Amino acid sequence: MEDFQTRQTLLERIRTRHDEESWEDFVHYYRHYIYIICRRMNLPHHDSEEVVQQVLVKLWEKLPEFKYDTKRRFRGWLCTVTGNAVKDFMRKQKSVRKTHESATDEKCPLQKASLPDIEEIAEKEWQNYVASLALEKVKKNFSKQVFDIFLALNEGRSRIEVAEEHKLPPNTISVYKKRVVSAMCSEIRRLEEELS
Amino acid sequence: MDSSEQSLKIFETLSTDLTEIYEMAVQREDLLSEDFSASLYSEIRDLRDRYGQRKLIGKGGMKQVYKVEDKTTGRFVAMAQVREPSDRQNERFLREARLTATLEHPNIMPVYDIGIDKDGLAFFTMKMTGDKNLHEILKTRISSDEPWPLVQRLNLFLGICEGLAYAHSRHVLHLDIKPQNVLVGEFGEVLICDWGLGKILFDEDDEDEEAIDPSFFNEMTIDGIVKGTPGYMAPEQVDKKLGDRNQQTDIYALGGILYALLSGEAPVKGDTVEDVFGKTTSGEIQPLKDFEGVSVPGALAAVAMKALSCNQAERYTSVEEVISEIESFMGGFSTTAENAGFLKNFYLFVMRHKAVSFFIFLIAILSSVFVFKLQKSERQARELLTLYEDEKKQNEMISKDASPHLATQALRYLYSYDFELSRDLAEKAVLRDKSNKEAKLVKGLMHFYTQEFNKASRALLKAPKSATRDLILKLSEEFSQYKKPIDRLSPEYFNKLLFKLPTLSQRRVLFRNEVQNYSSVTNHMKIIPAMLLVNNPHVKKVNFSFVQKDGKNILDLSGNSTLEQVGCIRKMPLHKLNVEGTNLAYRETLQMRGMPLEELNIAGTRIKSFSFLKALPNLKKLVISKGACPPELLAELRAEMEVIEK
Repeated sequence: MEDFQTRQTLLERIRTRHDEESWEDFVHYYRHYIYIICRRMNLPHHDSEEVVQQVLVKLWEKLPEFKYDTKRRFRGWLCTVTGNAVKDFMRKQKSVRKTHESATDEKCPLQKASLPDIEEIAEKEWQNYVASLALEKVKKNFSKQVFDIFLALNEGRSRIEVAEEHKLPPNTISVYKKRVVSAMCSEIRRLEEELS
Repeated sequence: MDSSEQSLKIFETLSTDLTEIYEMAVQREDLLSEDFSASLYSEIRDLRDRYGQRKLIGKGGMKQVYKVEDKTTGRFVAMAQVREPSDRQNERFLREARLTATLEHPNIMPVYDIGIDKDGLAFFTMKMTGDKNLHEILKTRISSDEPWPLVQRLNLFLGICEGLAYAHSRHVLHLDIKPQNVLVGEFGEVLICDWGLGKILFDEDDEDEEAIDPSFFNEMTIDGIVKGTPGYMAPEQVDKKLGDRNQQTDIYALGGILYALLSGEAPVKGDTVEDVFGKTTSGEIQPLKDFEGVSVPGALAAVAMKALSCNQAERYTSVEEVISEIESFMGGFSTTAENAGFLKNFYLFVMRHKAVSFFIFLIAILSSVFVFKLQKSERQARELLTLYEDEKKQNEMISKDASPHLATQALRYLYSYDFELSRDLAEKAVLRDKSNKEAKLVKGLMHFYTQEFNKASRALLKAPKSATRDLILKLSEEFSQYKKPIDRLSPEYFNKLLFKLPTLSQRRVLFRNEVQNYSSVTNHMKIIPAMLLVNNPHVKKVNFSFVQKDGKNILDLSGNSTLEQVGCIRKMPLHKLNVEGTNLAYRETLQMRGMPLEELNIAGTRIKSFSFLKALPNLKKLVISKGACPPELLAELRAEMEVIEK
């Protein structure tokens, strides 16, 4: 991961160098993102895994040609590519169940969305994804209690409620949450620098 | 863990929405000091119960008090709750709460909230004080070695009085004033609490919108049983026959509090309740002066005992009276309860004004000593006053800053021949700043040109060295010996001096001063040749003749063919002037204006115009060059005077 500290961003390296190393880095982070998009389109786990592989192959071929204006545009494009791959995948599967079809056609926002909307959704998913990477990263720095308190608060439970549950003063609860959030924020910023 | 499992795991953790934190990270909000995490809005919105866990901190006759967290305000409050859940108790309790809530005063326990809890029990919340009540404080402070300053105790007592006075003004009686019902904060703040026995006085007048509705409260506080605490209860509370419960009932209790603050004990003590009741009704109270090891000021003892009178009519009529008595004592005045005489009042006056009294005494002694010396002093004083006034006049002029400006002005007026003004300014310049050496130079020059050589020397000696200063100083010293101080230079020495001055302007100044001050025309005329040479530098020698004949001044400058300027004869009282054959231009006729000329010879000069003649009303004879004057004008002139053409 050390080589991420270079000035050149990941996406630039992929595009200009197109080497194995850059690609591995790219895959390391983006495969999960693509997976998440697939799952959001109501694809089951194993099918999603398969689609991720297909999309990655497609990306390997097309990435050097892709001229992205912004990273946001790139994720939108990635999202569209993934969405198409999901649709292709479903079409190929003769045994697609109705639930799937209806799900992909009606429930999934990605299916019918126009490009700006796709970018919007892609961005939202990306943010959540990066934040959860950060969460996973900072987790080891905190005690279980502190982390649990953070998760509980993030689920929307009230400070007082959580305070009572953990037998702690409400102010302490706030301080705990603040510590986790603070650590996450700096990790998120670090990731953003790496991945863009 | 392979990447597939990892993906799954990450996806699962996505169940919680973390985009908010992502936004914060990107916008760097976490770096701001704001505590985002305590979103008060959502916290308060989502509150299910306003009050948190209760912790019992006290029990009273009808209620118990808990410490609870008020989650809306985020502070701990004291929550009072009825002990026995009955409708009657609830109602009574709520009335007490409402009664207390109507009283808003810094010395009365504030009620924050009134409500019914989940179990149907009435409660109210009030300020949570970590404070002790006065009863506890009395026990510790009075017995402790560390003295409890009387002023602190009296201020505390005044706090109680103020709160009670306010309540009385709202027509509310407390009826259970005792040390246990007075909370004292860390910083001496006093709160009257427990208005459970409180009563609304019915009073028809003075009912504003905030006035309390008596019908709402009254019945419930009268339970038929004895209310109040033995020891501080007024006789009428023990035996209704002794009177109604009114303001005086509270005043009795106030007296009890004061008694306790002074002595550390309740005014009425006894082993049994009956014993106490008996002593209360009979007014058996131990005099304050009987307490051993406690020094009680007589005035305060008198106030306490008056308030503790068995007979209501003998007590103070209002709490305000008690307050003013205490304030009188604190301000060093006698209290009315003390029945103080003149000597006592005088003593108090001296004690109040220790410093002032001392000085009055001192002044009395000193003035009796000095009165004898007064007459002698008066004369001296008057002399001093005169000196002072003179100095004051000078001071008005003295302003250092003006000195350089004055000096400059003095020099300017000197060179425009206004010697009087120059003298005035030069002297002021020196006076305002005696260290101003430039002013000294100007003053020296002024004295020199006005021929006050001794003064000039003295001033110039203090002036900064320069070529001019040195020369003028030398000349002053030299020429001072050729005349007496008040005289002016003789024409001979004047002429000598004139030629020792290097510049024309210096010579002019000297001459101009001479013109203004000459003693006789004859003498003055002796310096004119020299001045003519000064005015006409190209002229080496001047033909000059001045005679006085029959009282007429006759000047003859004729034949000086190169003479151009005759400014030095300006304003001379000449009757006859001959400038024939000189090189005078018309401009020089200016010098003749104002002369009492009767004869004038301008033949052979450059004067070709004759309008100046109008300024010579006395002229009888005029000599001009032949053909210089046009025939018409000549005819006109001849009508008025004799005109000779040469």
